[in-house]
Amino acid sequence: MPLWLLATIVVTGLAAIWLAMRLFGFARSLTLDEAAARAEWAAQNPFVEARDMTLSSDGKAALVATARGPHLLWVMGLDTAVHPLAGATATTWPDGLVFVFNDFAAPRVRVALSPAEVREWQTVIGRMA
Amino acid sequence: MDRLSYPDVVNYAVPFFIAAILIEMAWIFLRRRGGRYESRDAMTSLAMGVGNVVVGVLLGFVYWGFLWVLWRATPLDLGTAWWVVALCFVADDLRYYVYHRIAHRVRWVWASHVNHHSSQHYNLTTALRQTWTDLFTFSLILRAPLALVGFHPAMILFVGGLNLIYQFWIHTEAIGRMPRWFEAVMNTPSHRRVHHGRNPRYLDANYAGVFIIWDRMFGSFVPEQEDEPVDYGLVHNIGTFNPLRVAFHEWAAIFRDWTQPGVTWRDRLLYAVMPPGWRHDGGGGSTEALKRQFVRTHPDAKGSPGFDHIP
Repeated sequence: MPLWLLATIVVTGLAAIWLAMRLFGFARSLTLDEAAARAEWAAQNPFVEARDMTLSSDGKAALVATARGPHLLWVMGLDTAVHPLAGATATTWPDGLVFVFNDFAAPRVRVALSPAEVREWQTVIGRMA
Repeated sequence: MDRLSYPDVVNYAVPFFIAAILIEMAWIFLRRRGGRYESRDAMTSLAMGVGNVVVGVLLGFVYWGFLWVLWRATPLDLGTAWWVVALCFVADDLRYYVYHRIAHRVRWVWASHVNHHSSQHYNLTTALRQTWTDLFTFSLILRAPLALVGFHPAMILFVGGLNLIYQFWIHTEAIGRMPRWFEAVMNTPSHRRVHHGRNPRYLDANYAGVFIIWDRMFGSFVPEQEDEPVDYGLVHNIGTFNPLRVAFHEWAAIFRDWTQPGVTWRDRLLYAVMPPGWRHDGGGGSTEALKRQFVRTHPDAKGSPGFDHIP
């Protein structure tokens, strides 16, 4: 098959799939309440219990206190990812906090928080550390 | 015979891949069951597939050249009869089983293969979440015996393409179980779902490409359990949809482990060849440790499929 034809089929196909996902509503992402966040934590870390959990008001992230130190849990599409906060930095940005991990597979996470939530999260992080 | 050529079946299958993905999405949308799709995850998988094709176009000559040199060197020539092609297909599928088992147990090869398991979804786009770095694993050497016993290089690459195409359709939750005789011999959506599970029961199982008989023969078969849905993804799921990070994250992790203070050259070697999770300070995890931990907390699971070798 000529390369130009293969490239045309691939580009057209990707556009069709992207459009279909928009039409079918597959672009929605997960929103967590505390029960859902605990369930997600348990699925990601079945052998580590979540003690306290501080959820962002938009339901897209949570601070999780565990016996193995504090962790950040955040929404990735319809799923979640988890990272320990040990070695991470949390700095403010106009809409919340930016967590920077020393990890190529999870470099940084922006968490949208109100100014009041930023102060609360900074306090909780300080207490957990 | 030197000029033997076969169609590039993977490229010809691309329109079928696209059509099948659209049909699967429509099925899930209409029936509200049979799997999940999420746009960023799916587009990442497709980007990995495109990258894999591009790498194949750019570096395919290395695979061809390696097999060609071996085939020219060997005095054996099995010819091109249809039964030789069939025999090559079966032999290559055994080669795939061996490769795949190594890919899950040797971190250097896992670094290339891990991206295929990095989605928390399981649909037809997951099948296309393919590696960009296979050449760096040197797993090409596993194809050497095929050329040395007299299979033509074009035939070896042709049946490898057929193997890849077969594996596409089994990456779905839209198909439950196939007829019993088919499940007994062939790899199926049910068997491959198990392979993509991060549940302790399902870790490091069902490595087959086309014929599940290899897993049954070599003791790595675990059947899908009705009462334990598969949780897809990695033991430690990644936190990015960036295809570059998906492709290279485990290589970066190996480099980070190599350059940490206090590791010896022996440690560096072991970081490359030991199973994923191994650590020089003994603080790492392993499939066996996860299974043991699960059985400790779920004693009823002892001796059941996936835990039958756990003391």
